[in-house]
Amino acid sequence: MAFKALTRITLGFWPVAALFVLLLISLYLMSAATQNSQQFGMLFSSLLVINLLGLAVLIILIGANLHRLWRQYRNHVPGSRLAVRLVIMFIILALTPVSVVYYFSLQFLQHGIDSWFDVRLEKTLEDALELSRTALDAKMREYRKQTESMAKELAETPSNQASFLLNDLRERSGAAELTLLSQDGRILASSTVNPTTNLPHRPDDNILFQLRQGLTYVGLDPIGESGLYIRVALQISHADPMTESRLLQALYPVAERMSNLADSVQAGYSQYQELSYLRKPVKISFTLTLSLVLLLSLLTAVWAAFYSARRLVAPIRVLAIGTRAVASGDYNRRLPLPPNNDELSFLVQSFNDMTRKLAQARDSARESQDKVEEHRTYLATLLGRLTSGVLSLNKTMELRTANSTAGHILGVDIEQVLGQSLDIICKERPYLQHFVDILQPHVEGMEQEWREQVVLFGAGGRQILMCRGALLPGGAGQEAEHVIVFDDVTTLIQAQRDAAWGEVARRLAHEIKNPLTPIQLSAERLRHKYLKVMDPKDAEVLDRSTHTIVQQVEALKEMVKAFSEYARPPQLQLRTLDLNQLINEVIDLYRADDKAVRITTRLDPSLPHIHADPGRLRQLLHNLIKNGIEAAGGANAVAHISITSGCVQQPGFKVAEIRVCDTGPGFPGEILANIFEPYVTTKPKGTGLGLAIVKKIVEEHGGVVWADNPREGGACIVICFPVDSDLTEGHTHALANHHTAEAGGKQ
Amino acid sequence: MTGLARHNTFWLRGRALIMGLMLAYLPVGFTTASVQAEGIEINNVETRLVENVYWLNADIDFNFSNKTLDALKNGVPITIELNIVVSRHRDYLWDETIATLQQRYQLQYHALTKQYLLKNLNSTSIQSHSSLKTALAALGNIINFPLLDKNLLEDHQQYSARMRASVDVEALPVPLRLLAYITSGWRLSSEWYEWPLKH
Repeated sequence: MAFKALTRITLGFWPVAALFVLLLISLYLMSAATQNSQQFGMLFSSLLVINLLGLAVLIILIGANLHRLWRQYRNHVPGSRLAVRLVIMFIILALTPVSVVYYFSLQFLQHGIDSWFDVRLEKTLEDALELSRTALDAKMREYRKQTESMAKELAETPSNQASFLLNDLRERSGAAELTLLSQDGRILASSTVNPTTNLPHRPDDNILFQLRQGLTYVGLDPIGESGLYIRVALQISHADPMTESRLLQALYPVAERMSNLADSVQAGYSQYQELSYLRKPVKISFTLTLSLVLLLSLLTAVWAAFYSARRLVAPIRVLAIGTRAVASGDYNRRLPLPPNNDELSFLVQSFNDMTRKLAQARDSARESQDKVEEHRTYLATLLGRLTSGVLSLNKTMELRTANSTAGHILGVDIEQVLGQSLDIICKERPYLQHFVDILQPHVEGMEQEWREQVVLFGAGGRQILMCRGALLPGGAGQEAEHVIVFDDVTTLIQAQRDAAWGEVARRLAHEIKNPLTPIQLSAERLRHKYLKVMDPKDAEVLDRSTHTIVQQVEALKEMVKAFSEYARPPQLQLRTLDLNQLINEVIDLYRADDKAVRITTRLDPSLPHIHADPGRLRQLLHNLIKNGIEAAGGANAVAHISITSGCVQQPGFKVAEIRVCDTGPGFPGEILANIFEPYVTTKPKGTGLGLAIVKKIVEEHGGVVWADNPREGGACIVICFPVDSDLTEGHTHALANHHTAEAGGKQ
Repeated sequence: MTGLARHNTFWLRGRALIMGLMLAYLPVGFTTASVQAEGIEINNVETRLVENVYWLNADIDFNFSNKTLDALKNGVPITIELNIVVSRHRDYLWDETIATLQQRYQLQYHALTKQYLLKNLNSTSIQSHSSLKTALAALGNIINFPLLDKNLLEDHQQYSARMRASVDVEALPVPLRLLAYITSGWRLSSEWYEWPLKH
């Protein structure tokens, strides 16, 4: 608070103006005092002190201003450089004329004062004084004689009568005062013209001493206010040496006209003498006054330079600060308008208008940006909530946008691959290659709308994706994009297929199984009742027919049972198991009792464990081995079956692969694609469900199966099971849980 | 009243000091004063109580400096001040001022008559002296100056008086005043001379 007040005083205009006026008045009074000691003489010292203090205050103010400006200059405050230049310019402008005037004033002062004094004038005055003395000397000689004669008269008069005589003598001589004194200066008797006014004027010790030496004193005395007197004093010499000698003093008034003239000469001479003596001090005083005036003017001008520079620079500084603020993006700063309505004010006004408009533009831009962002967030939320994966690609197969579901389905971290080309993404994730291969022709061909089904085998096992693509019309200057929406329909298709076959199986069971038992029983009854009574020839026919009927009914029952099994699989009992061990267990059964089969194995000992139901896998292996035996065996031929296991490392996941190959004729090319469908078979015997069940079991475990005719001949069934990462590297159970849930959902 | 008088003397002394300090740095030609037994010295002061009035006799030596004498010779009047302060002694506080007296004399050379005029500025009586020596002797020999009425003083109290004689610089002509403050030889003053006032 106090500092603010101080700043206002040091920087404000009016306090300093008031100080300036006060100092000016004080200097005027001082100058008057120097010239006329009567009027302001008493005030001179006080005025000098006041002026010096005032100047000190001004110097302090200037110092404060200078310090402030220097600090601003050093801190590169905007406008400080200009202020410094203005201050220097103003100071030079003020200093130059003032210095010239000061120099010439000093010269005038020195010469002017010296010119008052003149040797001739001094001589004249001295002569006038001497003339006055000479004029009075004649009178003095006359009065001396007169007094000497009076002394003679008094010498003859006894002391007790002297006072009477004194009066008489005074009246006769025209003296103003006659005094009779003893040798030691005591007044014995006195007579004056005006006895009421004054005590007798006693001669001083010097005169008394002179008188006691017997000398006569004649002198001119200015006595009191009453003008000049001629004093004559002498010793009264007695004839009788025994008598104590006395002294007589007579004061004669000088004629008024003469006295006035003499006074005038005395006053003139004295004044001239005094002035002459004071010549040097007068010069000093005038110089001092002049210097003080100059200092006051100069300091005020310097202060005014600081003040004006500050006033001039203030709007520029404000503008500079404003420009910096705008440059750093702050458009909300409004600059204060300078009080004067000049060009700078106009400039500041324009600047304010500009920043206001900039702020408006920025606000509206920000608003629309916010809206776009909001819209984008809305879309992202919408896309994120979709159960379908959504991708958009440009013409060069670069991934533009994708939702999280797309990443989830494809097993890709979308954030990482956004903006990359699909080809590059596929290099790291080869299981997506098939997906890309299907998309590519549609995208590159700028197809308007298309649909495709894609089967992938990746970390999540086998996936069937239903893809729909559409070409997005590009806006002005924007390239056209392809949007692809795809769904993981694996579960759906599986469920549909399961439901369809389940229905078939149920119907078969219902429609076929029910009449089978009566047929079988009837056939056995026929055989039992008529075989014994019929002639052997007919009996043989009956026996063969009933036997066939019973046998076929048994086969039908087997088939219905297989169907039921296919339709209602038992709940999966998943556990961690070693595939190699399971394969060996199954093979051991065939090695033991069947010489028509030779099974060779090549099992990879580093095959990781998998999550699977061992019962179902045993059934799968039995089915495959049986299938191989049936295909390669027969006609006394020895069926060669080779079982290979291995771990196939795919980028990001591992797969346990089992190949079961036989030496049979291989799959006919026309049915190779549908070999895993029910009732697709090349064999005269069999239910036609063997490979269908294999495929079902594989799919239940999230694996894939395909058939192959190797070049070296025979047929080959390849099965791949996904390997859970936690079983090999101890990672999360997420995938396993996913499979479990999936497997559960399929039942 | 007494406080005011005291304040006044302090003000004058303080002002003289400030002037001296400030002007000492101004570029004015300094003249080194010849060092001799110049100054004012109070040799003796005594008071007599006659008919309930204290009468003062004093013996003061005035040895003016050459500068002062020079100025006097050239017609510059010199004013001499006699300051007398009567105060009551107090044990626990500063002394109480009972009365202050100031006597001012002006000494001037009269060129026509070659006399030195000694004017008492308080009574305007003028004495003329044929030489400076007798004039200064008359100035320094104060006889039977009525100082104080005894009624102003209380019994059973200790009183003392002190006196100082000095040349009044402020009474010099204005141009000389400045020089008087900043050069030596002008500010002539005696020490305070203190004596007890006997009942």
